Amino acid sequence: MSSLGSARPDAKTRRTARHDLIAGLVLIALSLFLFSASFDIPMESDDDGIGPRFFPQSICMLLAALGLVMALQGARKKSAPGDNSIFYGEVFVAKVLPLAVLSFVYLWLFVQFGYLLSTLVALYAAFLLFGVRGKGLVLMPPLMTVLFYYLFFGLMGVFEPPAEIFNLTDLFNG
Amino acid sequence: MELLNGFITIFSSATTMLFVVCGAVLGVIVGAVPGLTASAAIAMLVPITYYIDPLSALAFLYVIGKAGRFGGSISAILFNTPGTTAAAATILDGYPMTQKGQAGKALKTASLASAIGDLTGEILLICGALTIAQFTRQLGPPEYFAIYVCAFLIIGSVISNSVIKGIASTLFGAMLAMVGIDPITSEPRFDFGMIELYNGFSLIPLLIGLFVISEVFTQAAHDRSKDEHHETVKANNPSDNQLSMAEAKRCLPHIGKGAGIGSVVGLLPGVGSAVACFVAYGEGRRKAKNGDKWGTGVVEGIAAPEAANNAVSGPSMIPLLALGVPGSTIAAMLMGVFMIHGIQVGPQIFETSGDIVYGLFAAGLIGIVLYFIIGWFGSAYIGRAIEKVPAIYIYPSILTVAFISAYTARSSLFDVGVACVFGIIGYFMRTLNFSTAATVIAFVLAPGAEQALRQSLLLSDDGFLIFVDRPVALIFFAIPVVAIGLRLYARMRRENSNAELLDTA
Repeated sequence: MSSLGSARPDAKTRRTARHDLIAGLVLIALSLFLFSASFDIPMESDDDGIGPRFFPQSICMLLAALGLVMALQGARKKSAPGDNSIFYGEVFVAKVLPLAVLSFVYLWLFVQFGYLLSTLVALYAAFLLFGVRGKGLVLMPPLMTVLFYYLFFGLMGVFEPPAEIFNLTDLFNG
Repeated sequence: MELLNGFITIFSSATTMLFVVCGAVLGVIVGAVPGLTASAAIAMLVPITYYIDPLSALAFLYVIGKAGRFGGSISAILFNTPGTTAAAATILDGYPMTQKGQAGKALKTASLASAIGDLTGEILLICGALTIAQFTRQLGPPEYFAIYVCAFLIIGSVISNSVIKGIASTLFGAMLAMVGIDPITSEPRFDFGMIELYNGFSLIPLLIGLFVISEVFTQAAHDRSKDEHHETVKANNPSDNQLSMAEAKRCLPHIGKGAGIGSVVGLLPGVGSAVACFVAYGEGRRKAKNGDKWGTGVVEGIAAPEAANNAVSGPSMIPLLALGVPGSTIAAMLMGVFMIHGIQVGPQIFETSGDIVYGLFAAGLIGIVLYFIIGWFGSAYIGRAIEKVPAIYIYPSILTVAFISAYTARSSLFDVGVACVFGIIGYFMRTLNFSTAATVIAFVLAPGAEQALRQSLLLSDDGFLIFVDRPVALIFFAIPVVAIGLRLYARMRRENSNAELLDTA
């Protein structure tokens, strides 16, 4: 049940309200940062009507106002009916964060070693993180790597980015 | 006549026809995989459309969207898990029918209702888009700005349980669209000295991050030990796998009403299939003679929501084609494809690219027939096949495809990084109940809104008072105010009545 009138908020509502408070503060911080950055947008002296700063600054102000409302409601332990946060810090750290880090590592590997090696390594790690073990773990990453290679770089003719250190494809192509 | 030409265009091109067939098959499969939505599949496949002709590209993605809405019913009926949110109401009667050994009957009902509902919506699109376009041709920048504001606020206010979070998601999308050169003065904005940001964020990495990578993260967080094992309940007799003529006739009024509800909901920006299916289910149950049996496994309980959720598809394209204003995520993505191929969307599209528009309508109709055939004869097999492939094999592969798709669009690794960042932002948005769909739609709408406002003010000597002189603009400004007011009023009434109940307890 959500926070209603004089009713004591339940655990779900309290959690949602706590998250709303943080999300509201983040929105305010983001809006203020972008609002201050908007003063770097060059203005022409003969701007008729509204200039290039008007829209971004208006959006920043509205977003900050909504962030403030959300933060205040969160501080008062109130949330909209049916609005339930399903964010759990421990789940994020244990399951999502490693995958998020992997995605950036994959990007770095892609730049350094090209498609084949980086995708193979990233797929092994991703399958492991999703809990695949045994034959599936051995077979799926190389199979998928080759399949996607032929689909995108072979069939569709997508330009394969050059690797900065070493590219396995060069080895296969001689 | 133009529609006939559209059919001739599709049937005379083997490539386009192949893409329509592939779209129908892929859409049903993608829709049936729990967690993987048609929007996510389209987001991943948009870059592919760089490499094919515009009609094939649009037809492919449009049919995936249609078939995906139907596909969601397969896992809803067979596994008690909706493949898409659009099929959430189908569970209520679909899964009880499976437990009674009537899965075949339930799937055939869903196929029939989806196809009729979709056909109704498509006819409304074909007849309505051109008519509305003829009217909207007379509109100027002030009216367009009002339409954009109306779309922003309606989307923001209905898309989430929290009006504030819905509108904040919309503003966040509009803010992202401000990155890059100013559309009128060409001054750089928020590029922070990065050459990659000079032209702003590209739509594709944003889509892939917010829809696909964030979904993979959500699936990674999902505790699979609690997933049910689904026993196959065999039909007791052959009739349990068939939909009889008498049952189909019983469903027809509910299909008609559901299709009507879905078509109206489809016209409203951002409301979508999930709302349509529950409204149709509730309305159908209220009016049905056997309303007390709904929820225990009756065919009418599947027919009403399935007709409604598919009827949304066609009308949701009307704002895009008649105004150039996408009202749904799929329409926003299709707008991206139009732009990729240099086609200007708006009322003039029927003159400048009529062959593509009518080809798209024809592809939609062919797609409906195709997914009906697939659904009628093959949905049980598709469902069983999907259950045999563990989700833990699917999502790591999707993550890789998402990466390569993000790269494919502009051959830019920067875009891959952007997709990763938006993947994390999307995960936070999903779990904190913000709307990624509202963000994407606003991202597409915002540049047009800004241009319309600035052009309006350049036209006027009285500044913002120009909007007061335009009655059409005033009507569009009033619509979201009334909608939000009604929603807040309903919430206040609910809170007051609950408070009274607590006081008397």
